[in-house]
Amino acid sequence: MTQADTESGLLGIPGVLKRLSAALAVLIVVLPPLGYWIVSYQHESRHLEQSAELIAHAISKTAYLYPDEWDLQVARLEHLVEEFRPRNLKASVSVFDNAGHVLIPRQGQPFSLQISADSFIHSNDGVVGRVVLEESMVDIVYTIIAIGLICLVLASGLLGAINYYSIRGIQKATLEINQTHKDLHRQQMYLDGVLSSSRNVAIIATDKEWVIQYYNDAAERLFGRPGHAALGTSLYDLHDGLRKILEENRKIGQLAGDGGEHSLILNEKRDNQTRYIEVRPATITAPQHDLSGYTLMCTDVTEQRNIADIIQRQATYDSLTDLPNRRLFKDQLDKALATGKRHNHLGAVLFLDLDNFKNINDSLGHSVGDALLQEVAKRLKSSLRDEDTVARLGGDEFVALLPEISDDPDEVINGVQKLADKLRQTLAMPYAIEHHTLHVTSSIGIAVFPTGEEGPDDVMRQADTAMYRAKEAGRNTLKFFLPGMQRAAEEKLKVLGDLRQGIGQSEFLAYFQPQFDAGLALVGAETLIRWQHPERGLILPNEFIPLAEESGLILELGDCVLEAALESLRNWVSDGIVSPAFRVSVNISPLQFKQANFVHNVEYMIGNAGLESMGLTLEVTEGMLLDDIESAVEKILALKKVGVRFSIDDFGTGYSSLAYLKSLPVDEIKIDRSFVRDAIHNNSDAALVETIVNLASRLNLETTAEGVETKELYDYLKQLGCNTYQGYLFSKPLSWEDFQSFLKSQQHLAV
Amino acid sequence: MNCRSGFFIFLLGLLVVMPVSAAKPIVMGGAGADLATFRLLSEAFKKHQPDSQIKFLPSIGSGGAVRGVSSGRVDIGLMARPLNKEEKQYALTEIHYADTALVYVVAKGHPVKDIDTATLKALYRGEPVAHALKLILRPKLDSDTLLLEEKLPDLRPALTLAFERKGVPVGMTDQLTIDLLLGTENAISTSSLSLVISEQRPLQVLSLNGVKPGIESLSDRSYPLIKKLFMVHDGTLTDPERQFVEFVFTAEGSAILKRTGHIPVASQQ
Repeated sequence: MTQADTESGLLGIPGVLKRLSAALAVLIVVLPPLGYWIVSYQHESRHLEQSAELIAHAISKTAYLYPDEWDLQVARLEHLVEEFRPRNLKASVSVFDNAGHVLIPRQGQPFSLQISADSFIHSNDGVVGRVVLEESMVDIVYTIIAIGLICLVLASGLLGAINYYSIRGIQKATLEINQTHKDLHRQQMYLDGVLSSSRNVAIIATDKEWVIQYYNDAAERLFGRPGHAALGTSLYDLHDGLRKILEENRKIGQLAGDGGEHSLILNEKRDNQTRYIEVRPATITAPQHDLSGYTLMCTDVTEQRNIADIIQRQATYDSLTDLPNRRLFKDQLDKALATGKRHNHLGAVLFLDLDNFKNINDSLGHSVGDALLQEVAKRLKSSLRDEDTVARLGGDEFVALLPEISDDPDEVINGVQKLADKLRQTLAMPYAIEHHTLHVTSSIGIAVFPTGEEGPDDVMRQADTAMYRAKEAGRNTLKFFLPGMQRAAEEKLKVLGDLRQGIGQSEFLAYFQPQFDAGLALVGAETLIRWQHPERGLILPNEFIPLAEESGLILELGDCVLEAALESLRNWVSDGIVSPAFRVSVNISPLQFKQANFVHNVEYMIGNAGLESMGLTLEVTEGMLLDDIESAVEKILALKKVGVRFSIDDFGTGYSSLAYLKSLPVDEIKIDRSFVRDAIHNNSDAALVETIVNLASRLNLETTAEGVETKELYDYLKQLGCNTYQGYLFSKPLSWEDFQSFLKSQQHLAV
Repeated sequence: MNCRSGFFIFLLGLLVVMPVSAAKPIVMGGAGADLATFRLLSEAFKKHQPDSQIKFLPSIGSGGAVRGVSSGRVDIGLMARPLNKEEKQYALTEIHYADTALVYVVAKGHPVKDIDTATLKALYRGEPVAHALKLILRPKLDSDTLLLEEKLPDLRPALTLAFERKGVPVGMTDQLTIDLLLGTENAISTSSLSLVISEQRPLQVLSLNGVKPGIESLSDRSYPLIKKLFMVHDGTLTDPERQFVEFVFTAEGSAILKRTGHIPVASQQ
């Protein structure tokens, strides 16, 4: 029923009520007076009849006694009439003889509206006369009129009340129904809006027979069928694929039946593109049984699927080389291990690392390095079988998986060695990249599997270990993994554990090696780190720094050293042992320098140390600066504002272009000990040292020579114009306590 | 009417009526008060007119007399009152022939001899009176009742009350009233002195307020309840009827009336 129907129905009710109430009012007005009239008339008629009979009976006695004279006995008749008429009888009584003569005339004038009754007078001879009683009905009429008026008033009141309350009630009910209609309509519009607002979610509702009952705009777009064409049709007819899923798998019925949240993927090809539609069926559980059915929420998830595929690929493939990454490789290796064990076949993992790739990257830039890696990947891929897997683990590390080569170990080793050699040769061929012709060699570690119950990590670690051995063996070579290698690897792991523990136990100590100017005045010290191992004793940095850098522990170690240097400097200055111009230099690792919060971290530690004047020099390497020169310049400039000096450590050992020097706001060049050591005896080193000192001088940079071990060397360097000297000639690195003593003893020399 | 024309009419009446009157009796009826007296008068008249036949109807009252005469069923009506206004329209002739007393009577030998107005009021109101007298009423429109209302106006309210009381017996005729009275212990009612005397019933007439009804008290008007008695006819008397009327006024007739408690009109004149 529509709202209009309801309203028209309701609007008709007042008319019916009016007619009913009018009929009721008429009945109220008519029935009581009519009833009163009927009852009164009957009552009066009977009363009159009984009275007439009574009187006639009394007169009849006289007539019986005096049949000839009864009619003459007027006084007697009148008395009889008076005596036998009921006291409450208002009627006029008249008596007639048979001839119609009036024996007792009626009293008063005849009534215009009257009721009458008569009764015969009998004598022994039969009827001799009659008694006639007449009574006016005027009083009854007046009473009826009065009752009628009262009823009229009551009926009018009732009519008014019914009309007022009923119409008001109906109007109120109509208003409420209208309001409810409006609310429902608004709610429906709202829900339609909500459902239609799901632009990307096609919502289809069906009855229990899968006939479509609801079909939103998104469904029109998704299935390409307009709503008017879809509504009322079977869901099976909407889409072939959907029908196939429903019919073959019968999953929707089952899934919808259990009310769970499951989804089905519907493949649809449109415009030669595969689209994926996620279909989520659900049961409509409506209180009204005829409203129950199913809803299907369909979403085009093609884009998500594509993104997921990309993400999946990114998660398992190396973006630079498009080779599988470590994760995928491990999965493949895991499978290969299982298959190998099952088939009793041997396979191998080749761990490849490019020799000196870091130098290429540092000197020619990342783009060249990346291109080189891509080319290496291509060469590796093209050199292997289809069933083999080559992956890039990161940096210049590649691995190749050769599953199920053979069940014969010798054949496997020979075959793998041949292949590895072929790879090494292939990789060693020149690369033409960005106008550069590059020559790269590789070190290859080989692990054969399965040899026991090893897992993929074990196999990769073995290959890695073998690769390091190959590196140690002089690079551009290949090594098979041997059990001893594993022990070394385990040793490395133990050292790493000790390293972590040592940091926690504060086993790392700051050592200071004094630095002198040309006049042999003590002007500063380089802060060096030593590990006071509880079992192995004092360990030099070259034994643990590479591992610390590899594991990232260098960050904590670096902070420790920097903190110790700053604290010591503050104490020395405050104790008056050194002048405020005294310099303390600290080596910064590449990982530290790359940190986004490096500047903030250093500033914080400087502030925390409470230094009034700044004598801190941070030593960085060329590679660190050139990795991202803009960022490096930015960081250096930021720290120079708070008085920090920068020194380029190990200058000349890299493959850097000298052009960068002019753009770097550094203060000092530290000449690597490898050049200084043989400068007196080796012309090449002497030329390099001279060049470096001259270069620094021309660029207004100070120079510090390290590894000054002899007086001759000092003199030579002094003659060249080197500014600062450091080496065993003056002092070996000293512990804090020893340096404290050294300072005191050299106080006259300290700046 | 002059004598000549009257005589002519009389002769004409004789010529026409005589043969018939010989066969037709004189029908008389009316108030019961004087029926017995008129029987005595008729018997005396018959001695003079042996051929005359007189028939008496039972007591039909004064009203019945008027109706009987006007309808021709009664030749000479007896009334204990004069014609009233309505009755006079019948153009009847009324002849006042005597007076008698309306008396209160009890059964003969009753200890009550006298009754006063106060006792009567109490009696009519239904209040207890001495000797436990029981009232017997006469009809409301009876000449006795009308006379009481006229002569003793103080008694009217009590009379009205008496008629409204339930159970008070009513004597429909003079004779029936006497019968009722005699059959009822300590009963008292009204009657006519003429009836008491002429009918010789065992009644005891009471003096009223100490005045005993009788010829003397009627003559000197000391007794208040004087009942006038009339004969009424339609003006067309036959000879016998006329002779009878005239006989009532004769000395003999008057004597009979006097003897039966009347004061004849002739003697009044």
